[in-house]
Amino acid sequence: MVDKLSFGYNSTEALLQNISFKLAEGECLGIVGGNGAGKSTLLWCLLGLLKHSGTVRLFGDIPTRKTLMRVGMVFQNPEDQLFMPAILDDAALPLVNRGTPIRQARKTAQENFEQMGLGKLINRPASEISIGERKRASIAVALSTLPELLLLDEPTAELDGRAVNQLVEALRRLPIARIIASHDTNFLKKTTSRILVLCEGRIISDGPVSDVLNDRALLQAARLE
Amino acid sequence: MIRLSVIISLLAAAFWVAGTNNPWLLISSLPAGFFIYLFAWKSLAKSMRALIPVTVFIVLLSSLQWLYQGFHFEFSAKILTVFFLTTSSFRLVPWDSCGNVLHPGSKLAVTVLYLLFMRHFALILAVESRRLLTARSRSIFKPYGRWSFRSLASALGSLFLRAMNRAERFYAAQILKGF
Repeated sequence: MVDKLSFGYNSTEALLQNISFKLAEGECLGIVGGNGAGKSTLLWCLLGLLKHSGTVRLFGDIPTRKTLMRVGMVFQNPEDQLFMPAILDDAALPLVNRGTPIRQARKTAQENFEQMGLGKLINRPASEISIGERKRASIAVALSTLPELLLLDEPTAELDGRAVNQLVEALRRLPIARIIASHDTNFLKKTTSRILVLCEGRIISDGPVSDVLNDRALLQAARLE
Repeated sequence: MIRLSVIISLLAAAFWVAGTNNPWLLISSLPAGFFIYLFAWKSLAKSMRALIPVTVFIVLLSSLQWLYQGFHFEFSAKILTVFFLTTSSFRLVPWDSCGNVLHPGSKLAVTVLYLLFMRHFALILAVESRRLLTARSRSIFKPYGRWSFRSLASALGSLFLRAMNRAERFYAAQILKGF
């Protein structure tokens, strides 16, 4: 739940103003907006990583290290998440941090990679796989801890058509709540049920995906067309 | 086990060199460190390229010392020898099998993860700086001169800001991984 969230890097200019919305269990929310609309900043505020005014509650609590353990995040740049010599260990690491023995953690991680179609690449470092594979690997890493909420920041950036389709299939199979920040309206049409349109740090529309993305005037106002 | 002993010995030697002030010991440890460094790199060209930033730093430092009439050979020798020994130990670490030390609550795992993290960050910065310097070299007319140095300063400044930005994201990623 987000209530009257506002944020600015300095006191004179607000990047986000009075953002309020709720996310139901298992719901998939898309945050859409042009470049610099505040999509990524909003995700960072949701994680409590930027100091903001207003209220953010994850699973009924303010974001703490404990609540953040129930959240998975896919960063725009997968290199921010993958740093181990093998991507398998990148996905096993969060489980080991929670006390799971390494063998069991690797087994769970391997299952996640197989679901993402990356079973053959698990022993390679992130630097030796393609950007699309890296993106899917970072989703496998985020899913390895069985999060209850998944945040995705520009998941289709730098992906080709085939990789986008694989990502759509992977996301559709997930039963958990998801927030996807993107300016790719086609991708959001296929993966989300509700859309929140951000323009210059404000919500200008919040509604079902078919209504919002068919409103051309609204998309033009949000600099998406 | 042998490799681990060699790495620990090299790091211990680096600490010892950093602490000693005996000029003769420093003079003798400098070539020894250099040979170990060459052996660890296994490629003369690459090892020399890696030496450029630290050489620039030493030359700059020595010039400042000389300007203020306080040049100390020992200090430069120390920096170089410590660089040779720590770089060699870093290169001898079997990075690919580091995942095997991941055990819940293990102190060694925390240390190894920290090293892996630093290595990853250093590699990313190296790639970013190469990109930035290539972009700069494509956009300047002359390699020297006022504008050239100004653009170099801007490039380094932007690299610093990018490094801060990336570090912030890495930090967030690690929190979400349960650290």
